[in-house]
Amino acid sequence: MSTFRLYLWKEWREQRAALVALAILLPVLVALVGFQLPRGLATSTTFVGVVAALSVVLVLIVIGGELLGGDRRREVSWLERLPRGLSAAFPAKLLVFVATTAMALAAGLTLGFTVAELRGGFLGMSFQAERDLEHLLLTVGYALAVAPWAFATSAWCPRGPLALAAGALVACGLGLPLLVLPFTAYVPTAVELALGVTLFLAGALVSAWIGFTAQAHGASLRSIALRGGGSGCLAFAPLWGWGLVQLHERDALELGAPECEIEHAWVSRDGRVAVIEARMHFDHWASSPRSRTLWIDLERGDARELPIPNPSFHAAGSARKPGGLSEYTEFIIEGLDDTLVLDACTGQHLEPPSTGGYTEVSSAGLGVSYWGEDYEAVYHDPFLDLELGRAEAGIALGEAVWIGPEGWWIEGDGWRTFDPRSGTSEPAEWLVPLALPFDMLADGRLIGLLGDGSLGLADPRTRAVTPVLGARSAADVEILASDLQSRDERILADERAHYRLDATCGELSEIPLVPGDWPLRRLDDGDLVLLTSEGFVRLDAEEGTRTPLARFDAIRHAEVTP
Amino acid sequence: MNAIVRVDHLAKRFGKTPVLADVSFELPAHGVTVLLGANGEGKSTLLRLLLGLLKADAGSLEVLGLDPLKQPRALREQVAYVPDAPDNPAWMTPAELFHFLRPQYPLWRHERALALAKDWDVPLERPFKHLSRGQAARAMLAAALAQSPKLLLLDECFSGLDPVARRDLLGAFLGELAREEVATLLVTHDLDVAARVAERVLVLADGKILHQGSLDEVLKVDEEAARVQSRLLGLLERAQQKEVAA
Repeated sequence: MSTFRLYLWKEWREQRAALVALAILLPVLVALVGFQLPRGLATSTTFVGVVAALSVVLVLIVIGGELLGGDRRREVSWLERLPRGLSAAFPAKLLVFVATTAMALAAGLTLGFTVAELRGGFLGMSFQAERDLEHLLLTVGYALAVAPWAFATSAWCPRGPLALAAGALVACGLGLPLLVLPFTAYVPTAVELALGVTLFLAGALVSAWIGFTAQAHGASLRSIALRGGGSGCLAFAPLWGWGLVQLHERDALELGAPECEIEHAWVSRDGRVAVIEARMHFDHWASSPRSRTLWIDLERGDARELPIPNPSFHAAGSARKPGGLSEYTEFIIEGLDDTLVLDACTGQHLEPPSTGGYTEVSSAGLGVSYWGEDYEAVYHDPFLDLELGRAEAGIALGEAVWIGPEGWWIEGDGWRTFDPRSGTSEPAEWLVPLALPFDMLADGRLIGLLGDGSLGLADPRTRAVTPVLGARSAADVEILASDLQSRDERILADERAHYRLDATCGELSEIPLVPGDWPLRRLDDGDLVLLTSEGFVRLDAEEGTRTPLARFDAIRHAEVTP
Repeated sequence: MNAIVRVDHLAKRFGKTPVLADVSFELPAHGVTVLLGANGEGKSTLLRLLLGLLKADAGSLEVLGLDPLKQPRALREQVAYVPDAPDNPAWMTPAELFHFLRPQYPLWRHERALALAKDWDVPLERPFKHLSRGQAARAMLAAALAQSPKLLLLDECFSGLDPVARRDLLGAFLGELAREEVATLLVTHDLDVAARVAERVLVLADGKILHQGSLDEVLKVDEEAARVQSRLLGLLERAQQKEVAA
């Protein structure tokens, strides 16, 4: 007889009585419990899963947790002084552990399904919901995950139940990356999953082997535990390394990387400061990492992260806090929880409003509108320095208001004009061709789409709507880079190209942009600040020359809290 | 001397407690050597060191020309060990024990094991947990002799037996031993046993081999020996009293 079979026979002889007892006890227990439970529960996958898991746990306590430790308490010195020493006993113990655990699982599932069938029908059990099956597999999976480590820790735990507890602790503690990452939306590849499970099992095997053989030479329990546990820790080191790398990758922001998406970007009027909101997108993360807000000094090329999660931005000069218009001339970044407010241009902290947050004041032509104290829209006419409430001006909900030097234009079912001084209004039929107004220019003309989809200008002085020469059918025309301070020029884009519109004469000229260019700001000198795949670029729109402002690879991104 | 065991300045401590301080001796290839010493003097520790079951803190030892720690398998195939009480699984029967040991020792003589068991009235099919102390000791001795060892280490295996059983077992064992070419190191604190079997005596006390030679030489009455004898007898008497009390 081979040595392996010899030791297998020894293990069988030692565990025989316990196995027989379990074979009798387990069905009785499952039947007793199964027939006492409400029918709905006893015929559920939860019941089957719990029975299978508890069967595994019971076998672990009685057999699995005693295989290695039992010898230490009984005949380890006898095994040790045999010619092949302790190591010869290990393979048989491992096989008995695997076999008894598998048998427990099979017995638990069989018993669970049988009782479920007797109580009302396993065949009637609904597996339609996939999560039922997932729940069953998860319950059983956790028990099976603990099993190898209960086996390993039994080499140095005083008793089987303690080995089960220690195994659960070790498996959950050391195997944390494997257990936690999938629940934090990480989607491992098949190779990663296989490697992780292999390391998890190999770690248990190595720990069990070292813990068992460490019992030689009269080693103390502490020494055995240190060697067995320590080797387990070492086996988990690559798993932890992998987990930390993944978490670091998730937390890192690499501007310019293909996985990095810049969701929002703003540049100060002087072109010295940019603020971007960006996040990484990885195929192996089911949900994207949190977005990050960076304050970038375009002159020096360095950046710092602003601790403002999910920021909201309020455009230049139009932010209003409760109690009055903002005094800030540039834009404001505000956290959703209203606890942190920064002047994005200077990076300085601003005192958050005592109640509510900053609200962006919507443009009403060349005036502004905001919510008054009674949450009624209030319109501010800068030419008359006059404010009127919505009801006071006779403006219905859903109507758009355009405030210019020639009066107020209101677009509802049709167009009408409104004189805020007299409070009178009259229809404006000549505005009907302007189907979709976009913006009001500095001289009070209104730019928008005409009925045929082309771009047009409505002039209050001539009371006529004329098409803008050179503009294509521009269903997708959008106005980029408009702000309240510079209304004599607009940057437009349609599906073909970008244009600059000279608002004083209504002429369009094409801007030499290439795919991937994102115009962010028209500077006072007429240059454009673009965001490209390589970083921030200053573009002379007339000459077409480009000057790099800050390259992504040169931006020194430091994790700085303001 | 054609030594089968060489021990040189061996030291071993457990934690902060020194057990063996400086042990040196050699064992001849034949004959029975008795290692005498009181309880707690480190006799069993010395045997475990010889088997490679413990690591020495200092000194060197060689058994059958082998390093017990580096060549444990080769050594244990040629060295038989009988503990003071059976430490094999208690559910095993002597027949199962022989069955289990048989493939592990290249020179195992199964017929001899069965014959010895029969001659010594060992119930082959009764588990060890149901055997008397004498029956269990005889089964272990039979297993040890069946290994055809070159060195036999006996650790107080005759203690705890009633005087008649001890006398019978000793007689039978010595008879069998005479047929074997084996060196024997018998650990005991029983002077009576030592007197019956010892061709050579080692006296272990204070972590050292205080004396070695024939029993007569060790117990020879001179000024030094008287002190040794007195001390030895005192130690042995105390140990026997403990045993009786137990």
